[in-house]
Formats: sequence, structure tokens, C-alpha cells
Amino acid sequence: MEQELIEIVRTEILDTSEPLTPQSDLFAAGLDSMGIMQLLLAIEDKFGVAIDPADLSRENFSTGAKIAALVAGKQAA
Amino acid sequence: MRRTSQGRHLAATVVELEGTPDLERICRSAERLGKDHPILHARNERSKKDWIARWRTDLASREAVPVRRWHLPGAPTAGGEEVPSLDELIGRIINGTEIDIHAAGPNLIFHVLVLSPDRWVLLLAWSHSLMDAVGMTKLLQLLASDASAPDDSSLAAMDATPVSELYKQAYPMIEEMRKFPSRRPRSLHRKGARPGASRFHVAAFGREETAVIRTKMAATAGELLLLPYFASCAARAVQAVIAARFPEEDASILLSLPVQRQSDPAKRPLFSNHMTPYTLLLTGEELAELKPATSALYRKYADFMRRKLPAAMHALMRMMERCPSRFYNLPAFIYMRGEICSLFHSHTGAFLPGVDTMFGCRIANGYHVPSVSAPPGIGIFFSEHEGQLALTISWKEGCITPLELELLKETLSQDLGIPVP
Repeated sequence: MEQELIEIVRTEILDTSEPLTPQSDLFAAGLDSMGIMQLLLAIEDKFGVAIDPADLSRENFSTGAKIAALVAGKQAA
Repeated sequence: MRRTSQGRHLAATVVELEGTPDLERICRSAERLGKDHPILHARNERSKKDWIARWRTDLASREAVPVRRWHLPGAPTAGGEEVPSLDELIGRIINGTEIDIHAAGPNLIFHVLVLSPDRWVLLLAWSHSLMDAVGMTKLLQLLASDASAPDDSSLAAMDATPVSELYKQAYPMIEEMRKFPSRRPRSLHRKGARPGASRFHVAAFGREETAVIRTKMAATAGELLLLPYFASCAARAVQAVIAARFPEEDASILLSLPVQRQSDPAKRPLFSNHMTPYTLLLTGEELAELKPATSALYRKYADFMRRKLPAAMHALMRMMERCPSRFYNLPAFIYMRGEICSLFHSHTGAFLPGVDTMFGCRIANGYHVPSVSAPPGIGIFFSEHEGQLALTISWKEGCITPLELELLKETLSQDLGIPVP
């Protein structure tokens, strides 16, 4: 899931050829408010998980690994 | 704007810097930029063959971008001409005539204003026909890196998609827009009144004030959804004024927002619009409270994206590029009672992310001041640099009374959780 999320961020949101790893700082790579909105839509579409506003923190969205952990947690709940 | 004698849709981008300006270095950059990008001195002209407006870079000179020097009263040693204040200089720029995209000459001008012995401002005056705020961010990143960028203006060449094909692609957005008139949205433009000069107000919040605003935002909409939150604040402020002006109506707001291109295989040239606008309708009921308004805005954004409307909107914009403005203004004015939207809102987000210094000086703050047309007569913009939020209210004289401006600020103050001066 990590890799899939990273590919979504890299190709569909940041539209960059720069490599990203699960630990890359996505905000430093250019993820902004509009990108977050697009990412939330992609997560809903691809993983069937809706993220609550309460979970929308910089901490939860700072890396691909953390987003994957959040999504996995939501799927398991 | 030009056709209705409202000015030239100019914008000012303000970068506040620490230290003193290195004029030699700034002039070198201005020279290199002008040499690399003939579009900066090109005029824009519609082709007689296909009616598409194009930059005549083939006729443009490769002169340096002009650099103007200014100083505040009492500081003549800083050089340049005297100007009473930074705001006065911004006002002159957004109401200026020196930039005219329909004549050969500069489309971008650097202004250097020394504020104090250890603080100065780089002010970029630019035509909104040249690029949008994302393009400006890319330009500032280029200037900060002190690097050259190849002329990529040929990428802007229009493809030859026939209008009939564009119409098919644009049709979902046309259908969407047909729903708007029934809600009878309004703006602050006063019918019959000739809009005056471009006016603006910038509220630059300090780090503590911004932290208060951020805390309220996190509790209302989460920590990361800046765009729907600040767009809702802006929409509610304009709606408060419209509701006070027309108390018998259920004032809906037609909000024009930028949408980021997704997976765009065609890399955009530096000097171009990097965002596609989209328009959504928010009813009076949806705007009654801030939290539901933010949710409604986000839901409508999601719906817009899921229905692939950005592509339809992009096709519509390309169709409109080929038409004289009267062609699409007339139906808009008939079906929408003369309105195009209730307000403009963009530039939301981090100002120059990832860049700390420019021309050897630390960036202290930065924001944009775009001029707006009437209708809608008002634009509300937010940006943030290193924990400092800046709010820009831009309007056309005659569209909002001093009392209405106070109501607008009061509503913004309530929603932001901090007084807007």
C-alpha cells in the first residue's frame, strides 16, 4: 500500500519525476492543501476509506509510510 | 477588464527581505531573465487566421526586465524615487499603465523599495495574462536559485483541436454552469455603476496571531484543508455583505477557485496559467455556519474532481480563447444577470515554499496583491510564509462601501478567530 500511495502522490498529485521513498517528507516535496484534497479523494476511491477531518494532521500525512499506516488502521477498524 | 476600462488585470507580488538590496545582482538577474524570455517584452495579439491570442515572441526584444528603485520619505540615501509608503507603491502598480500586453514593452517589472536600513522589499509588477500565482512562484524560485531557465514559450503553442471537439469535451461543464442561474447568485458589483480604481487591504498576521487562526482551523476543518477553510471564510464574508444589501434574498455565492492540474503530461511553460479555474455554487443555507460551509465546499470539490470536470473546464477555457470576449460575455450577462461569479479566491497556500533567501537576503514575508474586475468587484486571498498568514482583500472602487468593508472584515474576524485590522 505504501508504494501505491507514493506512486499516487508522485504521478497524480506532485507530477514529478523525482524519486520518493516511504520516508520522504511529502510536504517538503510540494504536497499542499489542494494536493491533500486530491489525495483524500484517491484514498477514498482506491482503498474505500474516508478520512475524518480530525485525522488530517501534518503528522499523519508527512510521509507515505504514515499515510499507509493511517489508511490500514481505518480499514481494520 | 481592459474592454470595460477597468485597467489591465495587473498583480503585485511582495517579497519582504532582510538586509540591504544587492542592486548589481538584481540587475544581473533582470538582464538574464529578459534575455532568456522574450515573452517578457512581447505583445499579445489575436491571429487573423484562427483568432487565438498568442504572444508575438518573434517580434520581441530581449531587453532586461526593468528595475525601478524607490525609497521612503526621509531616506534619500537609499536611492531611487521617493514614494510615501509600500501600500502607495502597490496601489500605483496595480492601477498602472506601464504594463500593456497589447503593446511591445515590459510585461514584468521589478521594483526595489528600501523600508529601513535592514529591511527592503522586492515588488514584482506583472500582468495576470502572463501567468498565474503558481507561475509567479516558479519564477521566484528561479530568481532565488540564481539560475537560468530555457525559453519554453513554444510549449504554449495551441493545439489544433477543432472547436467542435472542444465543445464536446467542455459540454459537462456547460451543463454544470446551466444550473447556476436558477440560484440567482450575486456579486458586489453594482449594476449601472462604473467601477473605479483597484483598491486593496493587506492584513499581515504575526506568528502568534497565525497560530491562533491555525488552531481554530484545525478544530473546524482539520490541520491541512487550507483551501476549503479559507475559501469558506472568504465566501461567508462576501455573502454577509450581499445578504445585508439584499435582505429579502437567499444569497447564494458562486465561487471561482483554482484547481491544480493532475498528471499533466504537457509540461506548462513558466509563463502560463498553471491552474484551471473551477466554479461552484454555495447556497445561503450551506454558508450559514463555517464548519458545514467548509464541508460543503470540500464535498463539491470532490464531486467536481470525480466527475472529471477540470478537463471539461479546461476545454471550455480553450474554446473561449478562440472567441472574442463579447461572444461569451453576452450569454453570461444575459443568463447570469451580469454576474460571472461572486468573488475571486486563489493564491491560497504557502508563499514560496522551500525558499529561504533571495538575492542573498533572508525572506521575511511575502504575499500577492492581484487586481480584480467588476463583476465580481471583490477578491479575497490568503497565503502563508513561515507561520505568518497574509490576507489580501482586493476590490474595485464603487463596489463596496466603507460600512460594507467593515462588515466584510468583521465576518472574516469572527471566522478567523482574530481581529482583521
